[in-house]
Amino acid sequence: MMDIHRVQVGKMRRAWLVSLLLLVVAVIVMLISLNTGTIRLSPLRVLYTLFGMGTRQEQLILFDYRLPRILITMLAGIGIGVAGAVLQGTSRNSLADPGVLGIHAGAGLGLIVYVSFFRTLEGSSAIWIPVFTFVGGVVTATIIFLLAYDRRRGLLPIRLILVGIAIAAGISAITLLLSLRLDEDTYTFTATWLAGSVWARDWLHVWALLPWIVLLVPWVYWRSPKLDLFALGDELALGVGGYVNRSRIELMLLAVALSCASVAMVGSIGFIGLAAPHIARRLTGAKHQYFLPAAALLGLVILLGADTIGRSIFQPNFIPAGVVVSAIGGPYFLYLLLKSRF
Amino acid sequence: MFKRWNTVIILGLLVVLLAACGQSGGAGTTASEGQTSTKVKVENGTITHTADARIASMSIHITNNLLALGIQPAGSVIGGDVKDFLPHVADRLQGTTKLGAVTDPDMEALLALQPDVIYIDKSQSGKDLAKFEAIAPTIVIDMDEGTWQEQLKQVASHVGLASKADEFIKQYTAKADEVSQLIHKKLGDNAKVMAIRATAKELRVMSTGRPLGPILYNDLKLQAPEGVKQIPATEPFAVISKEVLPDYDADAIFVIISKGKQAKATFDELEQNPVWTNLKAVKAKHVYVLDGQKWLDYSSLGHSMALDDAQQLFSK
Amino acid sequence: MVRRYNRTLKLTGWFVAATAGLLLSVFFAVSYGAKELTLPAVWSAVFHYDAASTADQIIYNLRLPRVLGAVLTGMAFAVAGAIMQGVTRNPMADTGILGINAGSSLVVALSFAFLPALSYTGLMALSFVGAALATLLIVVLGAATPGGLSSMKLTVAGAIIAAMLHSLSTGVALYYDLSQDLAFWYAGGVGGIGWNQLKLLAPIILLTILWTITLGRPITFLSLGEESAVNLGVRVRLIKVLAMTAVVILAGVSVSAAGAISFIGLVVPHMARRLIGVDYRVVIPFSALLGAILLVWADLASRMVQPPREFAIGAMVAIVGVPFFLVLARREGREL
Repeated sequence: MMDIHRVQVGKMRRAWLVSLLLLVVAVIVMLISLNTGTIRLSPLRVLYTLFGMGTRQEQLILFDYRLPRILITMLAGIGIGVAGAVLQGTSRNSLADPGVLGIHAGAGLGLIVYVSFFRTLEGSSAIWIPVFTFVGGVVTATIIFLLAYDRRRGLLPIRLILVGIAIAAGISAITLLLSLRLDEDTYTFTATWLAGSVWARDWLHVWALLPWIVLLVPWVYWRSPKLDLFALGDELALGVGGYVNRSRIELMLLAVALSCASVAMVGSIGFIGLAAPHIARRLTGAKHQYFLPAAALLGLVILLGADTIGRSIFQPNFIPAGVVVSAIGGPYFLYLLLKSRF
Repeated sequence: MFKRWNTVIILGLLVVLLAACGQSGGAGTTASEGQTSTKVKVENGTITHTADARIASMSIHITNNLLALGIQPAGSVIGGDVKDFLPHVADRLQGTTKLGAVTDPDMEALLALQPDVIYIDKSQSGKDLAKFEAIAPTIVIDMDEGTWQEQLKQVASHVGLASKADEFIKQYTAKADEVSQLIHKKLGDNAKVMAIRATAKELRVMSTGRPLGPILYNDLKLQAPEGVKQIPATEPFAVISKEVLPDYDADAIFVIISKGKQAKATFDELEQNPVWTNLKAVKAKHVYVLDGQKWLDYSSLGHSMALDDAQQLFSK
Repeated sequence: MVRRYNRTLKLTGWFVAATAGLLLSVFFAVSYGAKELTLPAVWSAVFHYDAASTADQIIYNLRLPRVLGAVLTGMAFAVAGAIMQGVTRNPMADTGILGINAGSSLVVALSFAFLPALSYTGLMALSFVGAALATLLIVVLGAATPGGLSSMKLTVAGAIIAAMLHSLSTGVALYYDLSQDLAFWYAGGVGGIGWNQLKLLAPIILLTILWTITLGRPITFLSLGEESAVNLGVRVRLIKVLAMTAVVILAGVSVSAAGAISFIGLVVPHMARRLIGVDYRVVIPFSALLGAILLVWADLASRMVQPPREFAIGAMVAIVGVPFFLVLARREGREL
């Protein structure tokens, strides 16, 4: 009993250390990102300005131009990272990722429906964007899970992936089709969105995304013991807790909500929801209460890093963050796939 | 249990901290108004400025209206399609700072430019007015409203060059009459003219509305074929299939080829096609390839240069 | 003896039916378009071409080349899928799903960016190289895994490769601002095919298909299992290399002409096998006929949904292909 307790404490300490370290990394990446732009600002001036001691011009640059975009990217990174962890936990599928599973494609369809009926991405109605993407995502996720479910054997991991990929292909085709019908601009927007480009620039978009992350991430964390139960397998979980399906559906809905709200602002970005939880689990162990914070921070670091790289290295043009992520995340997925025992 | 809540609290704190940064940012901008240079005067909400003020133009068409008045802006946005200043005015914009594409302007470059005054197009960037006003006094012009002549006068009124605008319009009208006669002499009095545009994936027939309708069917007094009149004037163009080209029965065809290899290929292929070579206008050799950017640029300078282009095409 | 005779009769019947179906489809596709033409006009245009008549020109120069383009590329995608399914014994193999089409698209996007003056022949060659590289990638992945890839795993790996390559193409397109040009490649379409391209496409595709029919016997043995194939004297490695070469040629050439169209190579061979059995000497030509019919109809549908605009033919095929894929995925999943 003592030993188990000691191991627990050791793991907890390790998880704390990792999270703290990741927080430091996140802050560094954020500072680098704050430094990226047409006007050069020294890191020191950035710090001064952040604490309210900058000139008016510096304040404009940081608070009006750079910070909203960076905050959106950070929030979305957290959302996608946590969503990936929850999906992997609830479906007991180490390859689950909201992008690969086609949930982002559904969100994209929701976004295009929004654009076609409300026409504008600006103005106060932008608050509703995550709602539309969420509805699109939920519908798609329902279809995917129903198709991948086997009455006798539950969710079949590899079939889930295959069904997800096919549904993603089908829905992306429909989305492009719809946007092609609208006009050239919408089509270009859709194509860029599907490639995973951070398009939101305004505080309004921050406010639209913030409540989803602030409310849902702690909710997920609060329910994380359930995720550990799922990891034991359905039969066991049934014996221990009961209500498996109810809490499973609840958690999956949370994951879909988090990822759909996030991609509404940053475009369809795959593989982060896969990579962040995996790396986090390596660092802190398999218990969700330890690795969820690390997964959230890793999602943040990866997405913000990718966006910063895409914006700075290829100046004066840019490369969407999603392309940067998939160039690295794709091979990682293949590596995991080949290693897995399906 | 206790430790878990700690993490939640820290996560929460992080979010609050981020939110707080945003709050202070919002407050910072509304508190301070842009300081106004001596070259700019604001009276009763109307902004006027001297011709030597540092001007930033956030619309390619406003830029060209300024150029028509002999003013080179200090900074201007670039065309989204060509990713540069429009080719027909690029030589007049040497030394002008590029401020990004119209749809996604580079606000930092604008800020670094430190303009005395900013011009924006209401339909393109009107919603971001506050952002521009935080940098410098901002003049809003609705480029969807009124003819280019009216827009030119409006710009001129802010710079105090009203007479120069009148002069420009007078010259344009005279030139239009001259070119109109030239065209009619070559095509005959009642020739029906249609304008088509070849893009990468489709063929478009330009309507009697903007951008091409006014110059073709008003200024140059050309006749529109029945099919062209049927396209609603609120639409800039209608997409058609090659198969219905003969139905328009035009005596002359003006052709615009979009930027890009694929668009050129679309037209090259069309030109090879017997359906095209058997058109009335093609047989009579009345196909004229326009310098597209000038014609599509609905502004004083653009249309004036379009007339020059037409003059050159028809005096051969 | 009687049985054999019956089988031949049945086969002949199916081939006659498919050929008639294809001819009928072509005739329909040529008859309907943005401009309304009467059936007699179509008839006379096809059989008594008159260079002075507008209707004849529309049919001969606008509709016929694109319909023939659909026939050829449909054949190519379907045969490529059939061969892949036979050689890899993976019922979900398709050049689109496994990322071969995406490889070709990426190279095409790159050549648009860096070699804007490339001729059509050059484009075709590069498209072929792209298809070959993507195929190599998948083969290497399979070889690098101890015990080889299961068919489901291979499918997932291919799909991920396809997603990655597609993402990179988009990156290239957006970076060089080719999005307008690339719209064509995304969607895929046979509208751009003219007589000039057909002159190149037709011999390459038809000869390759004829060549693969001669490989039909060893492919049939392979499809029944590698060990029995070896016992029957099949040089497995050689046949695999030859078959994949054919696949790469067919996919590369078709993508350069019509864009990346998925799912034809998936759906058609299954239908063919169900109708006429597993002998690839007949499966291959029969798949070719069915693929041609499917793509001709998809093209006609893409033109008729909202004329004169044209819908993405790839999306049209996906609407049929995705449900089919899902059914297969369910069936495959059961065997795990």
